Amino acid sequence: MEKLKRHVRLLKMFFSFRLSNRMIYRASFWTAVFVDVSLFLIQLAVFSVLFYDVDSINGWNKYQMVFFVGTFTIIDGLDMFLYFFGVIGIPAKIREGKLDIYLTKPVNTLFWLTFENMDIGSLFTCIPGIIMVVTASVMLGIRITLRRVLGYILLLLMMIALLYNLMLIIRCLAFFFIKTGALDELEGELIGFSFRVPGIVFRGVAKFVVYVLLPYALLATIPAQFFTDSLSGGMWLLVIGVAAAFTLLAQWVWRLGLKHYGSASS
Amino acid sequence: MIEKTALDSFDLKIEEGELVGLIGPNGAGKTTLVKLLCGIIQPTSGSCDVLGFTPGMLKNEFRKSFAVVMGQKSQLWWDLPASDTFALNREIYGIPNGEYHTNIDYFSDLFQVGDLLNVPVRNLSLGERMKMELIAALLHNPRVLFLDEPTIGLDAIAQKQIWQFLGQVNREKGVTILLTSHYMDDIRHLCRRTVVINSGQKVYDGPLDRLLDRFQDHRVIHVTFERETDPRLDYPVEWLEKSPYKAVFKISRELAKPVLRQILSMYDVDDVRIEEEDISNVIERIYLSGNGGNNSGQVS
Amino acid sequence: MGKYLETGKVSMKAQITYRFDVGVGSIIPFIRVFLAYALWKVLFAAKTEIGGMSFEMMMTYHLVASFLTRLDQSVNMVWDMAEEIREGRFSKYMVRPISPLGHFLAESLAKTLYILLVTLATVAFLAVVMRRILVPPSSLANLAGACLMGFMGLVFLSLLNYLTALLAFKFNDITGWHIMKNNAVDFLAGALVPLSLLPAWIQDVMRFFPFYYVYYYPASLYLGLKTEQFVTGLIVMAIWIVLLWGLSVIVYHRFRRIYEGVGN
Repeated sequence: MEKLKRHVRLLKMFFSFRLSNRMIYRASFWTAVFVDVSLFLIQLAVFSVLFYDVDSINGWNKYQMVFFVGTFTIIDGLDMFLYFFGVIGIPAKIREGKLDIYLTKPVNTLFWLTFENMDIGSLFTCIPGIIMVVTASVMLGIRITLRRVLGYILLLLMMIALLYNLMLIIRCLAFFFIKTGALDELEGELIGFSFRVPGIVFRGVAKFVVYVLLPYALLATIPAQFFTDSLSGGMWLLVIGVAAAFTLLAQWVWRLGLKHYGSASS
Repeated sequence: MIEKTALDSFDLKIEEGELVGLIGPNGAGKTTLVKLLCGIIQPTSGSCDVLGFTPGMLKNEFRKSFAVVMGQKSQLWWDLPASDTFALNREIYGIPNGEYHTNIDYFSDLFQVGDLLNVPVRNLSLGERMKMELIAALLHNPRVLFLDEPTIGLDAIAQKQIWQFLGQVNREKGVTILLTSHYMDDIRHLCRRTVVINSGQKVYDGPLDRLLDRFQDHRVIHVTFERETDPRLDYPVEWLEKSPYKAVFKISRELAKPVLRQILSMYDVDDVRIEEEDISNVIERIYLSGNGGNNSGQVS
Repeated sequence: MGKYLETGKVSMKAQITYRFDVGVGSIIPFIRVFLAYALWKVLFAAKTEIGGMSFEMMMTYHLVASFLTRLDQSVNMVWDMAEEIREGRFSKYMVRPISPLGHFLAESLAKTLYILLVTLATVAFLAVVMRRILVPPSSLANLAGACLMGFMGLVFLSLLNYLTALLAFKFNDITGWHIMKNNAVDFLAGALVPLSLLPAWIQDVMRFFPFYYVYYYPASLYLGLKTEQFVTGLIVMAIWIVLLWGLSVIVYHRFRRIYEGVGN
């Protein structure tokens, strides 16, 4: 319990530090908001262009698509708020040996690296997302029950955690390889796509690949599917299984990476 | 892939409260040793024990009991004032409020940086930054302090202040200090015990005076004369400078006294000055003897 | 001239040591095409033509576009250059008789050349695998035109990225700008979706801007579409390239004066 309280206090400190850091660069703060909003608009533009005159895709109708877009916007905003900037900073710290400083402090290194760059500005991005989600549910005439909302939130949290693990695994490769730029690009493709196109377009082997092996397609699709349609028991199992598996995998890769760092640095 | 042995058969034991200097040329393995002791890297063979902990396990309890300052890597948040980093450390190390404020006052007085606490770190000079680093390191009253090249790039005044500071902290608070440097001055002004490292091996471990005695073969003597003189001596002297009124020469230590006696008796001497040989030459000699002469590299 | 050639050669050598990176990079076209296939298969289920293209043409479009996007290596160079500026290492250009723009372009083109060989192999392989859902180039002349336009697109992108990196003189952190620029360019250049899906009036406006000709137009030309826009396209691109070149020189010289060479 004490440990939890301590970590919460640390989180608050990281947060306030980032805030004051941001305030120093006032321009940077608003730039970030501007960038987030533009990114969102571009995603929206692409989405509109693709699905402009499409009434239904593999059983999903227009408003389910809107709900999907809203969902990924919320996920995107939350991941950038919580851990995005922390995680993408990891490879640079590995390469420059700055990891040393973190390792010598009595704080869980991964925890610190993950949360030291929380970005409050990103929360603004969630707003259009929430608006879309609410609008779509109204247009779809969905009965808003507590169970539905809680289930949605639970799935959102699981997907945010899954994305964290996926990002972390890729960043950990910096422990082993000098240049991983192409990998970032590849990840960008996968995430970009899973935020543009709902996973339901996939069938067969392809579906297996993007739902299990590289489960990026799950991210926005699953919560949206649960709320606007339904999630079968099997699907729930799959999602929980994949999320758990990748959590373990990420932890393992991180530990492996640290070990490698601990024997190779100079 | 080239495998490099950074440290080889390195045996070192340091008691609590000691102030030890680790000196060696660049690439000798000093930083590697510090990283091993901090737990950043793990030994491929052998063991490492600091305050009863195995550093490589990176236990929080261990990490709370020591501090490390690396000359090249800063723990201070660049864009924020040092006071913010201190506040963060208070949280990280769980320093009680009273102790925290006492320490900040104590250290900022000692270093006279009280008015710099709220200046963004990026606007501080190198010397001021190093002082903040030291304060940040000592706030939580660590039992052990590791310093890796702490005076690199600092001017003479800042260097001196840091030596005084470290000596004081060691005396008053009993903090065990291990300091690495390739500047002889750091070691000379600070450490009673010196460990010399070269190519990953320990070459000497003991008091600095004994080191200098043992390896300082020569003295350099400056003599000024009352009249124009061209001195000639019966001893194997290496003349460094010979001008009408002045002569500078190098002579082995044992012969210094007889040579002085002769020169004083033979010539009209105005003034004499005896210098120790340049310390870096001494160290070089140790490095060379460590490789050539002694197999185990040990010098007693 | 020779020094730029040397720069290019050294860049090439450096690329070869990053095997993992190059290896992963060669997978990217596969992933892109795979994702595009899944998407368009579904979209074409109800139609035979979207944006003036058939399913096969759409797949070909994406293959060509993904090939072209891989060729631009200057986008990754922005980070390195920005860091050099931030850490005060950029002064090396000021004390040496080498133009940073020339250096940047030389390095970028060298990397492109290297990537070209690897990517060509990948794409050729994909083309064979996907031959049943692809269309061959409409004509040799069109193919040549597409290559020329593609090359001009690369030069334009390099200049744009150079300018973006120069922002590091003014801003502490250009990450946001760079990411936003990339997303905007990807969209406007037709890397994400062919521009023919946009309303006609928007397309007409875009024809006066360079992005239209970076990916979308070369790929369209390959398919034999919009051949009548070729000459105007060349002129527009040429003008924009000259504009950006001039802008790069001016901006650099202006920033140089306020540059303190401050580092760590």
